Amino acid sequence: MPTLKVNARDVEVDAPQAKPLLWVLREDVALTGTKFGCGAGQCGSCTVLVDGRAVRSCQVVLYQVEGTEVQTIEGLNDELGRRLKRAWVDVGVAQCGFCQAGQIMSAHAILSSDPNVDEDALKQRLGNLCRCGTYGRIVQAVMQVAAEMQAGEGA
Amino acid sequence: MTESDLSRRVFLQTTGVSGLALMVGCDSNPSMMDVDAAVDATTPMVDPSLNTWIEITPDETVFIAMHKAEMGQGVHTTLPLIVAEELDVALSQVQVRLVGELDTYRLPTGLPLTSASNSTRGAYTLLRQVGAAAREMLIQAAATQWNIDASTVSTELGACIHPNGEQLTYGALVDAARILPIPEEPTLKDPATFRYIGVSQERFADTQIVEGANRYGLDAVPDAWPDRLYAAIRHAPVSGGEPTNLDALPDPGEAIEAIVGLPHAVAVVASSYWEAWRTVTNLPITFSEPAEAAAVSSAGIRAELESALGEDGIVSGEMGDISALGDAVAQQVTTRFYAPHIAHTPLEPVNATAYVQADRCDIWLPTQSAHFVREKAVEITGLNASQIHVNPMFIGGSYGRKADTDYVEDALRIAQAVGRPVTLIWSREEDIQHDQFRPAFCGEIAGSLDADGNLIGWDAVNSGPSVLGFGERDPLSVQGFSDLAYEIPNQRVRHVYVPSPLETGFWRSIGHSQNTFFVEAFLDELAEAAGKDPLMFRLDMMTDARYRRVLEQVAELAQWGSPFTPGASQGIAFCKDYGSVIGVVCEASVEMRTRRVRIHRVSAVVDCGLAIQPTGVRAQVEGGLMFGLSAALHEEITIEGGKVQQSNFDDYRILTQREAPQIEVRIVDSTESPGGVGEIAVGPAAPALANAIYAATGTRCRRTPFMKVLGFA
Repeated sequence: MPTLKVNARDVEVDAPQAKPLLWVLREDVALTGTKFGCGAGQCGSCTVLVDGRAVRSCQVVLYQVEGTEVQTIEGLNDELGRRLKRAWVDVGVAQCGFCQAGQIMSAHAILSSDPNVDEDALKQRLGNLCRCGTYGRIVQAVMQVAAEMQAGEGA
Repeated sequence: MTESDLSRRVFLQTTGVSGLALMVGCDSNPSMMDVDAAVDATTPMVDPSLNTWIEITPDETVFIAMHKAEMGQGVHTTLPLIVAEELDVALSQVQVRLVGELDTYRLPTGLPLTSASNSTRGAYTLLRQVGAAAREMLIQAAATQWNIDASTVSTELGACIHPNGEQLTYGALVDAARILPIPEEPTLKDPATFRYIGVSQERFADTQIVEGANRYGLDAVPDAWPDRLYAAIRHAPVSGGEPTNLDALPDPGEAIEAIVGLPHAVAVVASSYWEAWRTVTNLPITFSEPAEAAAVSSAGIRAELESALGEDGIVSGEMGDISALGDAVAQQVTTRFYAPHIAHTPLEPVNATAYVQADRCDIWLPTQSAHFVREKAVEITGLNASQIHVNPMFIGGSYGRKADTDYVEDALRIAQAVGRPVTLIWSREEDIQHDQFRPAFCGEIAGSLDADGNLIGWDAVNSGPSVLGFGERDPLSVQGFSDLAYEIPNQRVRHVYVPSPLETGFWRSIGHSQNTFFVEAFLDELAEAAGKDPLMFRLDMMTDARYRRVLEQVAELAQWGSPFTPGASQGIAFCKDYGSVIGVVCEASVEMRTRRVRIHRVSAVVDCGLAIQPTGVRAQVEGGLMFGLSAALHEEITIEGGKVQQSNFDDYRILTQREAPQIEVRIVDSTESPGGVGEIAVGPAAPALANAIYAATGTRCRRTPFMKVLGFA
């Protein structure tokens, strides 16, 4: 039976090898924070981290993530993750909130690999869709966290 | 009817104390009178505030009912905050309960539907009264316990205070308070003492959202239903089509519980949504294609709308005499406009979870109207209203889409067929192709200028369907088209009704979404003909101080005439509705080489009366602008052979992060009654952009989407 780590916990999944990670997470692991928005890799609402890299979970399947470490929004609690979540609340980013888990996961992946990212580059790289129009506040929250991390401010 | 009469009726209506009280209620809808639990005359009169709208538990948690649909516009915070302000509790004590706008929770504020940017402005005073009445009852309970006069008791954040400083918490007092008489005219706070109203707060749901713990309809997991199934669906691509080969479909395999034939769709049911979805997608299902519906095309729709502009239609507004201008007219400008069908595409696709049993029906779903859902459930199941239990959930975007019950009907029929709880989720393809679209409209406006460039005549006609189903008398068809802010001495506004061959519904800002584009883009054409600056041309026709102020202030905010970005161009637009007014300036550049429209910056000044939550007002203006810009630039639903051509975000493009402009919003300081802000920014976005594009290129965008006009898409 396929095994993977989800949010640092070993999980055995009794599901077809071709089942998309998105639905494995939502149905087999009962984590519904990762959302279904398009099923075609277009919107990013399903974004999770697989071995630290942002992945659209509707576009990868179970056999591809066997033996990997998957992080979802529920388990994104390292220092960067906590800062992002706090900034999201402080800036008041969310409106309906449906896309925000994916947005935060994408932001985490960008800042992890490029902590000095500038605003223009950030806007180019944040490909997740938002229908409510929170784009400006997303950028504001991410840049706020980037500045905090660069300044080494207390958590 | 005075406001105190209204509030008293609300209280009487919601107590259910006696048949007489129920009859006094403002609404005579039988389903509303039935469902409230009957309370016989011997039951003490209980205060609805402390038993329905507000519940306080011994640990000082304050549950506040929120009756409107939370779809991102922030009512989940704003409405309970209003109650909490008057009740005088700490926001950290508050837990919000999503209740449907039904029965006890239906206020006399219009349709039991979250719409028309009416949630806050409609309920503001009533909710203040709910909180204030509860506070007075708590004070009275404390006064009785202390054996002092109630007028000597004060409150502070969840506790009553004795003149000697002694305190009794609300949690300790609520049992005694809840059976006291309801104050007929509770004293409302002096706004100068507001703690929360007018001061931006953290939204109640935000921590849950960022932790992935906020549950949307998609996530409905009714704990009592471990045997819940999932359903995926395919609707007939051509309107009215029926499945034709249900009996001949191949065995779908063990993972599938059932294939359910519906009047115009086929659903597949499984214990995994993914199994259901991939099966319904791959099964060789065939549908009939009714001839008339199969002949529908975008070209045909547009031709019909344009042709209709030549008919008389009905006159929806008239002033002076448009036919008697004679020699006064030095120039006439006439322009025709077109706006195609567009889709909502909330990121949470429509969905509903239903369980239909012999004697009850439970539904968990995103909806803008629990009332419409219950009505639909009565219709489909034959049960009566008291047997229908609607559980509204946090909505992952709606913009008007989830006011409809088409997806609810699907879910109910599937649940009936299967006999178990079923969560139906439409795929993105189904959500786009079977949307209740913003209808296509055409408009034509003839403006007459005198020798001094003054606008002396305005003859406007539009053509399109009725989203309310009222035929030619639908006021929403001329929303933003008639009753203009501009003082033009001779005006005639007409509407020609043309039914839509596609399903249509409410798309955020409704009539404004096309009409404000037509009007505000046309005004710029007139300004040019008159040789006048577009801002001055508008101001010259406005004497209302409130209208002038937002235009003057946005011009200042936007540095009108002096763009922030070198080489960029500016366009201006105005809109009024919902008790609010807004001025918008868009600053953009058009890059022919890279085929891009760069929207650098949008400035907006909004006067919405008292801003209950300034950060929320800003968010609605930011979001509304982006919603409108997305449609202006990119969005179009096209139809060939009766079938919608678009299916996912690759071919139905919406605004992306990299295209999002910087947005600056200023809120005019006001203590007037709160106006609506959820929709006010949507309508002016397109014309502000169109006017900037003209300034940049000399190309007039007289239809959406603009990328098509420019030849970039």
